[in-house]
Amino acid sequence: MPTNKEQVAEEVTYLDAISQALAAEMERDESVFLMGEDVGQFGGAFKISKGFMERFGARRVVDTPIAENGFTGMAAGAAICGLRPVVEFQFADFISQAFDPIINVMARHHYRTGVPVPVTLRCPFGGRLRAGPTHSQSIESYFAHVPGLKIVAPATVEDAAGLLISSIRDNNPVLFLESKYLYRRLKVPAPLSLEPTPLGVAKVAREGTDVTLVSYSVGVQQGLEAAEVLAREGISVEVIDCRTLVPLDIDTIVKSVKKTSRAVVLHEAARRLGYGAEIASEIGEACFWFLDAPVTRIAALNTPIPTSPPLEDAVLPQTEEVIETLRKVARS
Amino acid sequence: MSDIVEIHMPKLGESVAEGTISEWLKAVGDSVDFDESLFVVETDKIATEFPSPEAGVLLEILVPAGETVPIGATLARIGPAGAATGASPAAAKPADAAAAKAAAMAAEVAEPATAAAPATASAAPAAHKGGELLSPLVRRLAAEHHLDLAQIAGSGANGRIMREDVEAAIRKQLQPAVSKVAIPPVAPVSASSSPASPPAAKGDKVVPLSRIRLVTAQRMVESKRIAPHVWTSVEVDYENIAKVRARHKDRFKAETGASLTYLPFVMRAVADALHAFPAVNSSVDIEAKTLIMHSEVHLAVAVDLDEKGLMAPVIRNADMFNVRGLAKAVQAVSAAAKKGTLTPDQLQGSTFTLTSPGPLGSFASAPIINQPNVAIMATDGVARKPTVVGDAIAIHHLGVLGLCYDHRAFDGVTTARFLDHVRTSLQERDWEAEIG
Repeated sequence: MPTNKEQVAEEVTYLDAISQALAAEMERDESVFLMGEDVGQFGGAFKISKGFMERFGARRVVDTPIAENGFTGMAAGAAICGLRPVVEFQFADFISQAFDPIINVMARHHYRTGVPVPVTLRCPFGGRLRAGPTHSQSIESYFAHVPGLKIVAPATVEDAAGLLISSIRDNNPVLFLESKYLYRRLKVPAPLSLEPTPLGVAKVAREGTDVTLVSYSVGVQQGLEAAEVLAREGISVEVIDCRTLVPLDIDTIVKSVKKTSRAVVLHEAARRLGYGAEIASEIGEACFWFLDAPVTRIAALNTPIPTSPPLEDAVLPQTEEVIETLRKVARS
Repeated sequence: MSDIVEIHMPKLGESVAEGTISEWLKAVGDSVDFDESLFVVETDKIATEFPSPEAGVLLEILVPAGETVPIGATLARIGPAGAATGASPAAAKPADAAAAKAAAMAAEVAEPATAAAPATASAAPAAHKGGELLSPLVRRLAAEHHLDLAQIAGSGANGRIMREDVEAAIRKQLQPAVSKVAIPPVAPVSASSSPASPPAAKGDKVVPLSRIRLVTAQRMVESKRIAPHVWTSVEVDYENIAKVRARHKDRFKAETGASLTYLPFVMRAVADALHAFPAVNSSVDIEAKTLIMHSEVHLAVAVDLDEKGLMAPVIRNADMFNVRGLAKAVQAVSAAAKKGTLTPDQLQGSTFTLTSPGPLGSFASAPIINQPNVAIMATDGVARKPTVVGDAIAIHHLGVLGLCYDHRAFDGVTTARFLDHVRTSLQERDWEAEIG
């Protein structure tokens, strides 16, 4: 039952996958509904919910005022009353408006009362679209510090669907980080499987023996590109896709690093206290006697994201830097 | 600032791929202020002074004046005052960081809250010649495989020994052993002298062997390999000793802090018997074709470390002690073994060993000889049993004393006489006199 013309096309994008998975969950479970700015009549800032209002009605596709704090609080209330809201933030950057209901209500309520808060917070995040300092941010680290939230960041079309389905079905508040950069760049042949992908299970995206690259979201795609280039030089890179940051599948990471003896952690968020610091620290504790090189991070500079294209490219990790770092860690 | 910052060749124009250092304005060891000119760089278009992105001390100049290097190449390192300075090398190094990063340094510094530039991936301390910089992995593998790292050539930066180098050395080390095995022996020996361990099945728990287990394993296998073990045992009537123990053990414990077990009585009897049968208190030197009969009696006593291993501390000149002294000595070495405070001296030099599974209810035990001894005695459980006394049946405290001995050193006749000597002492001596 296609909802728009993209779905009958021969290819499915990362964006289509999110749209299809969301529609499928709304079909499957009447308690699932979507809310956010422009999600209804306009079909969403990135057209994820194009046609949803006609298909599911205005009661389940709710246009909200420009008031993240208010509608996020409303989602918390709806979840506590037994619904399964999916909240779309137009840009992840705006979620800081809604910090309080997420942290003090969603992440705490089950702990305090035993009542689950099954909310999915969809956050289009990350840079590379020349969108400037308030429409390009990576927000995972603010929330990774808060017990009570799950954080999911798919790197592939299949996972964008499978992990969203699991996020919606999960009884905890889940921050679902969608890569704006991958939205229309990543495609797979149709049709797409709409089976849930379990949360908390990392994936070995590419097997290798010389160095492990740990990443998530767009970094996994960069890592796969880098691994391809380095393979031609005889450097074998294992790429681990975390898929979920909380809970983190540290066992898969440790197993890989013990095998390769070297680890590089890559993300697009700023370096200082980025999630890579946590991953690197876990690796250091678990793998110390297996390490042949310091665990190395690749991340954005500790600056706001510039609007200027050359400056944005200079601030965010580029594939060339990933290649150079992996080469250096594997070879020196 | 606390980090060491690398200075890279800046990108001086859109189409510029390399630059030439025409002059260093600072020498190694000089302090440099933020934005103070560090060197003069030339391209085919311009010559310009490069301002330092950090305040600190110029630690190292990696590209001397006159050299031309690509954009992004590391030129120098600036660090906090007091950091070790390096020599200025003669040759330039290849580019090792993204040129974009260097260009973005300006943005980095411009951020008001940022005190220090981020350390780049290349901020690792430089390895020294000869590979003294050893990673945890290399250290561990070298220790596990008893490798001499001085014999391994490093293939990493500045000769650092990498994982691959150690793995190659391990393979080389295994090579001769493998080829020896590969040649089938002519003699018809059994197919496998050391059968492969079965793989762990689902649900099995696999634990690493502790150091003490590995040492025990090695010593026990070695002892069984070199010494043909023979076990002989006698039954001892401990009735007299049981009566003495019953009368004195509470007072003894109060006075000495040690328990009056059967063990010190047996040790006392053994020490005397060892003087009577010096071959039992000896060591075999098969190379020299000699039996060394020791003039002194040093008794090792097996101590269980809560099932985490076994130690055999030595009570030197045990034949100089009476039962009271032996009980206290056993107590002292057991406590030290459990606390881990034994000295190496206390773990070597034994001439005979006793192990006492008796308190745990054993009936008859055949232990493995503690090398380089030629015999080990097991004191097994003492229990009340019917026995013939004169023409009557009485209930006495009976227990087995077993001796495992090295048949290279002596024969069964000596063993039987030795054990009889011990048994007679235990049954007939006036123990009361020694305890009272």
